[in-house]
Amino acid sequence: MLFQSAESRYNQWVHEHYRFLLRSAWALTGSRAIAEDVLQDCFANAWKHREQLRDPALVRAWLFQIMRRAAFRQTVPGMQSLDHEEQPELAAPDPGLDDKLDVVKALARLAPIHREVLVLFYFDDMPTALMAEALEIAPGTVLSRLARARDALKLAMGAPVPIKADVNVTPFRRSKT
Amino acid sequence: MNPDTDFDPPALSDSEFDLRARAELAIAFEASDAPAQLYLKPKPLFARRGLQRFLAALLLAGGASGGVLAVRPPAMVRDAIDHEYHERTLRGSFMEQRQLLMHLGMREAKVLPGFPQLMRPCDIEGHLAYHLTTFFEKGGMVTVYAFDQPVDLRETSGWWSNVHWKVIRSREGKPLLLVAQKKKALAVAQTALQATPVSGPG
Repeated sequence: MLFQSAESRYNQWVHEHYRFLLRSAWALTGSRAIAEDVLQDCFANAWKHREQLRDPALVRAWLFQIMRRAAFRQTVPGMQSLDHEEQPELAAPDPGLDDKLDVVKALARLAPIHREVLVLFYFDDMPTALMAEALEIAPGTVLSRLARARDALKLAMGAPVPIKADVNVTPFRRSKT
Repeated sequence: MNPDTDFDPPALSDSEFDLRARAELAIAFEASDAPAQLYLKPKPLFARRGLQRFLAALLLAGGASGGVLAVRPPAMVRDAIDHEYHERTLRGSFMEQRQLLMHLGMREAKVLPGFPQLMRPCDIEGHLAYHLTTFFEKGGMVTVYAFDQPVDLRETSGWWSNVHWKVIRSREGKPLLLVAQKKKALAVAQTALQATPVSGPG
């Protein structure tokens, strides 16, 4: 549309990207309720800073960028940074994990840095360039991080990994019964 | 060896593994549509600040240009005002006083009204005009244009380019264009040019 008001542009973002962002935030935070709060923050920030989006083609990556920041602000207190790979205690699964599917349990055990790249890959099949934009890293880093994250996920799911990778998996915490 | 406990899962290829992961994640993270409160209600058209500013600017620009057009005199008057501006400091008699009196419709008068500063034929918008700049003691400097041929000038007055102008009729009914910096000077000149024959300066 040639003349689209800011409100209708924003509404279009919500309509087109909410589901993807909700699933991503849910997978990153481990809680649907927190994910919904995260998205409230995310869209509020997106509206507030809507002028910062220069290229409309990057809107999904841009919204993801805002969402991941909001997600890591709202999750467990004490979470420091998105880019710390070595945080096994922060990636601890919730007590109800035993009822969940293998891949969900495995994903919950991964470090946030691996979880977010897998979320982009599995939920959206996002091109590498856009993933790089969304994660604020170089495209080459995306590929290497994705490879490591997939290996980590495979390991966490009990599938054999062809080459021993430098992966970061949090051991299961058995819930007390 | 117990086949149930010692079962070694077959190695998944990347594509199989990815398919499985995608499918399981899709089931596990089933998302709903965005809640209605997340959407913004579109503002009414006239409540938009941008539109309000645009309309205000349009109104202002329209008012300003309308005002300018309302006071804009005919082309001949504008050219005469421009001519007066360029010859404001020019002094001299470049034509006979008698001849100028005739064109001003003051055949019976002996002398020009006021203290003449400049008398010359000139060209105003392609028309031959007789230019008299004269000083009235009680009004100031006035420039009078008398036209040789009939011109389409209605009896009206106005202000343009920082000078006052007025079109009057001579005693013979010919249009005379007066230009002065002071409005009072126009009234004094009009009286002198239209009333009784002028017999002397002032």
